[in-house]
Amino acid sequence: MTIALLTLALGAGIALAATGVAPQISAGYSASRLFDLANAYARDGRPGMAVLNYERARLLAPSDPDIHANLSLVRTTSGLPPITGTWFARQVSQLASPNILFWFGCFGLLIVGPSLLLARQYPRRRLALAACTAAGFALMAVTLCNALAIWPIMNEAVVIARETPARVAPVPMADSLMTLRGAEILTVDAQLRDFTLVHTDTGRTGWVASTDIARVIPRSGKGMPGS
Amino acid sequence: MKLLPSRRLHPQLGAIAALLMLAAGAAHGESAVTEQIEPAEIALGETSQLTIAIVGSTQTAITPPVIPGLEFVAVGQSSQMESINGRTTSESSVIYQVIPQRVGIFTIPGGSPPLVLRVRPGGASAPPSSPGAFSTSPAAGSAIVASATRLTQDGTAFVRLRLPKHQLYAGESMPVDIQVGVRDGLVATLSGLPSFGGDSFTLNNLSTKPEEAHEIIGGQPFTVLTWHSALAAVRLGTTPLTIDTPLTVRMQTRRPAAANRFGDPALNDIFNDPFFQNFFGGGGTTEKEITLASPPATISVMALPTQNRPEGFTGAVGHFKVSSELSVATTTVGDPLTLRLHISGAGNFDRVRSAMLGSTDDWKTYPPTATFTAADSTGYQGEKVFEQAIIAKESGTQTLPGLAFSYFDPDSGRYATAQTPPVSVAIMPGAARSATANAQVSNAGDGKAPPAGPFVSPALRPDHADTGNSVASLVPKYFQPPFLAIPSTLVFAFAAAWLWLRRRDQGAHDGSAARQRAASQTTATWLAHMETAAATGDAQVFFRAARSALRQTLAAQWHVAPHSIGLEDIDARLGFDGQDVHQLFARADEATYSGGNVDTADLEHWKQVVLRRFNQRPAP
Repeated sequence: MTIALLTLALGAGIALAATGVAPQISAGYSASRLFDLANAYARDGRPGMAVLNYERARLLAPSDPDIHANLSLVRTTSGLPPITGTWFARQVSQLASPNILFWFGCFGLLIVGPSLLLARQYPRRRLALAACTAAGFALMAVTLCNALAIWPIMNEAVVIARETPARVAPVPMADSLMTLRGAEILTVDAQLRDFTLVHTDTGRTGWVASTDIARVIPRSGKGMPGS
Repeated sequence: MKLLPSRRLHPQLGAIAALLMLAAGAAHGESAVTEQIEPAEIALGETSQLTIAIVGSTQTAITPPVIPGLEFVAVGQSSQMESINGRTTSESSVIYQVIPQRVGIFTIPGGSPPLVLRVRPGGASAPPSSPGAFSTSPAAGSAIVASATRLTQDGTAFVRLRLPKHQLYAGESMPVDIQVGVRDGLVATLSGLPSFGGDSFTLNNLSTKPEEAHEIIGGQPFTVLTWHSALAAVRLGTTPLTIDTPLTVRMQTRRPAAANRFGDPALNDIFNDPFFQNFFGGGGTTEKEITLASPPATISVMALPTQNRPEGFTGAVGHFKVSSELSVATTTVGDPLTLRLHISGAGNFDRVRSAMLGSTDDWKTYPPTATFTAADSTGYQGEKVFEQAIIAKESGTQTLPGLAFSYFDPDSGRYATAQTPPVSVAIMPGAARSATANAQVSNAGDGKAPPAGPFVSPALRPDHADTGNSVASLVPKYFQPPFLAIPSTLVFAFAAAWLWLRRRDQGAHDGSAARQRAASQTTATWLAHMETAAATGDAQVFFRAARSALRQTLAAQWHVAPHSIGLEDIDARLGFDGQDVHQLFARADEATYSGGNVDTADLEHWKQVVLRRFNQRPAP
């Protein structure tokens, strides 16, 4: 009885937390708006901004085929290779939105905890409770795998300028190592004043002007895309 | 930062050139001096420009005139020398900035006729700038005027602050030039960048590479380093402004120059030059750490007026002009347009903001982005462009309202609102696409010509309807600390519950063991009584002690109270195996109520029964 009450209280707490968050998310990022904005940029001839917003939309609606189709189209027409990645990362990241999977993980935890406690108290129902525990662990594992697949995106950035030079040092007059094309996706390593140290898929590293790239997941967490 | 040692070559080259000229036996010929001043009438606080040119057969040094009430600052010089058929002709000119110190009429000698400069009271004829207009150069609207040059005590260096005006509004930026002059012939190292002595002002975007120029001050050549920056006031009120510059001067010490050694001042200058001093092993060097301070300039900082402040005013102070444009003139319902607002001019661009077009029934709008392109090194002048993606919802000819931008004009002391004209755009319905849009989208691709058809990207899937589901942040919730508190709380709660259950079970286990220990002690007591009674032959006491010892032993095994164990329990739990116990309990009842005699051998038998049962109990 005690365990059941505890579980109910925690479930109610999570529900309250979720509803408490709801009012502040009325104006923010939405997959449809990001998709429309990306389409607008694509039609306006700005593939960098288009890819940036498609990537952001894909984060919120990973299984939306329209986002994948338009992203692939813009990348192809920009002369960039198609989207790659390991089978694991593709499958896990397309399961559901990370935010939905977060609640799945919490629900799994909500199953695992009481199941383990009840199994201790009622050894005769150990088999049924073990099944519940396994189901809870499975949900948690899916969330964890999704987090591992999403983690690299936290440091990804898109070249939003037509093209930008990658320099040997974070100063405007430094020699250029290579020229990065618009819509190219980079990994951010460090930031120093107005320059960002990035590396490409091929492992080449250089400093680019911070105004020429935009993080897929903005650090501020506020405001609308493109800003 | 190191002044180039090559600066020292100038007097050396000059000396060598003078020697060559002497060796060539050039005769001392006639020289023509021309002077020009522009403008000839200025207000106090403005500057004029004096050009002195000398053309002749010999190179003659140009020195500025010395006129009380006027300061001459060299801002440029040129020299040219040519030799035709052995006849050498040189032409030199120096441009001076003339800074009046007071009102009056000044006569500048040297020219024919002498030049006249009229200086009227300051601000008498400065027309205010019209709203929305700006000057591309600070000098056009408000000339940067240098403060007085005050040399250090040894005359080796100076710091000068050049300000366009001495009154500022809160939030206003003002371009300033900071000049540090060091005597030629010295090798100096700047220990740091110029900075303000107090905390009432800030320098923004101080250029890292100063410009180098040369000036003649008091007949001595100086190398002048100029930093450009934008000044912003932090506090209201009247505050003196001083620039400090740490400087290390490595000074060449000279041997005392012999006066009139050659009887000619020109030759004395040549042979007293550090080049010759060093060449003949004379002199040494001494290093000196000094902090140069500019003469204080008083600046008044005023608050922006609160009256007539426009609603959309964001703090922009300066001179701005605005214009807007659309990416295409014709489009289709659902296709995006880019609305651009250009705000150019001079002022504090960090406070230049625009909300652009708000959401309307006819247009779907997105938040704007802004980019700033500086026209100078300080970011005081430039252009800020706001871009906003908008999508038409209805077909027909739509008119986009004009965009307004409010700012404060410091010259007129009033707020101004610049407005762009409304823009009309033709919106076509449905699937028809404009050729302009086709061309634009084709740029999004690989630069190839768009394929024939309605749209370059027919495969681009259409827009989605806004579902209204949105999130405040793109960061997944499992990476957001506030949300991470939820699973953390769950884990802690379940761990706490687990520990609580475990402790409860442990407590129950401990209680059972204590009870078993107490029961063993009681049993041992009864066994001792039983032994004593057996020795004395007291059957009544013996059987009562034996029954109590057995009850304690069995109660500990069966987890029941000792007194509740009766014959029925013994039969039910022990069955046939408990016959001896059953008989002992029966004999005990008999002995209690009848007190019958029992011999010693019989007591020994029952004692063994009890001890066997006691020894068969499970360990606690």
